[in-house]
Amino acid sequence: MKQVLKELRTEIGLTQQELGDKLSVSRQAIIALETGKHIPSLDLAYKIAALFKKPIEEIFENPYLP
Amino acid sequence: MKTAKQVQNDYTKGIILYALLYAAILFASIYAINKFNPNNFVKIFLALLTSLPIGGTILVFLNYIKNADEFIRAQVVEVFVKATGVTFFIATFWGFMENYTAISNIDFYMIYPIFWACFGLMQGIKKVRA
Repeated sequence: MKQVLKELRTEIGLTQQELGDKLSVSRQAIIALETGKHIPSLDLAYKIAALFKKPIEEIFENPYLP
Repeated sequence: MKTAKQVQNDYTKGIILYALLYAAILFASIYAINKFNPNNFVKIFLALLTSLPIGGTILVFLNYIKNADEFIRAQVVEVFVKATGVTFFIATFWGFMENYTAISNIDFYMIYPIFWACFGLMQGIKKVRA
């Protein structure tokens, strides 16, 4: 899950700071999301999904699905 | 909507402003008491005035956690709670030590600087462990 966000970010050539600015979060938050140290709220997950025009579950793994 | 950097800058500026205000009122109060030896009513007023900037720092902190992103908010609140716990522990431990032994008294107003020292320590530990 953590690699997907990093891959999507680098695909469109954004730095962690630039992605953070687009999402109105800090660079530390992006680092934590990319390294799996922070599980995003539903609101932030929706924002990220909208930014990359992908469904949430393509970016963040659903741990409750078998 | 403010950027993460603006939120951080507002917090830093606010804390510095109220810390300076606290120091300025403290020194002015000490000077006034030594110079004019006012009555108890004025002394109570000066004690209250010196304590007010502490409320300001708490408001700045609350504003910070309101405007910070969810990750920073979670980190800062965790550090705040841990620092509060350590401060409670120190105050309780020292209080019993004063009762049980001949250890010297710590003035009650020291609790606030002790809290921020604990906050800094807990933040440092969190960064090292991250």
